[in-house]
Amino acid sequence: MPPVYDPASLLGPLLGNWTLFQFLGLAAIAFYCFYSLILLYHWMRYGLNPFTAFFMMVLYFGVSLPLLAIIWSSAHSVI
Amino acid sequence: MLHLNTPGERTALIVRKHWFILLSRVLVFVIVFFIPFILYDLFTGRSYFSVILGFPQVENVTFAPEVVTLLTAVWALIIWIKIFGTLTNYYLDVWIITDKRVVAIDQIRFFNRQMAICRLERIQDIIVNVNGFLPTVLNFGDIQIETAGEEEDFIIKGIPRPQHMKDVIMRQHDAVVERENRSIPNTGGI
Repeated sequence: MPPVYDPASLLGPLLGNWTLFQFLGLAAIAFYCFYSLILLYHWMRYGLNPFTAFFMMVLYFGVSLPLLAIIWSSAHSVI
Repeated sequence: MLHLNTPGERTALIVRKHWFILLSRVLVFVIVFFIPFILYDLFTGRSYFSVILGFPQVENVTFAPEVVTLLTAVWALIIWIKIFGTLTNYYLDVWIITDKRVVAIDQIRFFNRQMAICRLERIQDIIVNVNGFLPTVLNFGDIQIETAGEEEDFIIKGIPRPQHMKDVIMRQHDAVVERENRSIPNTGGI
């Protein structure tokens, strides 16, 4: 008898018991990390002045990190 | 910080696009952020506008609160990082006027950056273009620098106080021409 996967778990065979929403959360976090690296690279490479760089980082991470926490927790609380 | 100056070169002015250009780009993202919520409200027929517009009320469309939170947070994160991409792009678009040249750095997108240099002695004419109600009221516009030779004209768009920038460039240009004239030895005529 062939194995039956949970339809909500698109990547069931690959990621075990991960659901679609957990995968969505993970994809969002991966995209965020990738994009943040590009942003930081440009800030460092082309030389924002120290005050602007500090201000941008506080603003950027101050909003995005709590959003990441919300994404991660809500992705794992969806049944 | 920008370290573009050659030895002995003095920076006269550093200019970025007008703040209204940045504001208008950020506003687009803010509006885009609300579109899914407006559409959701319209098509589920629960909002004031959907009643006004005559959309049918759909009773069965409901999402778990965790799903709504997750999707909203993901959407907000995408919009937030795109706003910062726009801010970075704005900050890295810069024009520098020195006592020898005009340097235009155009950050088109990430990993796509163009730098053009126009030597002051090659400038022939400068045209200031302020077109429209908002540019006139807020005092921003375009500058077109016509250069000698077959090179393309130098166009700087959306800069604040374009007339002032033109004056600065012309002053630097005049100083360069005067320096050149002084350095040519006087042969005393024919």
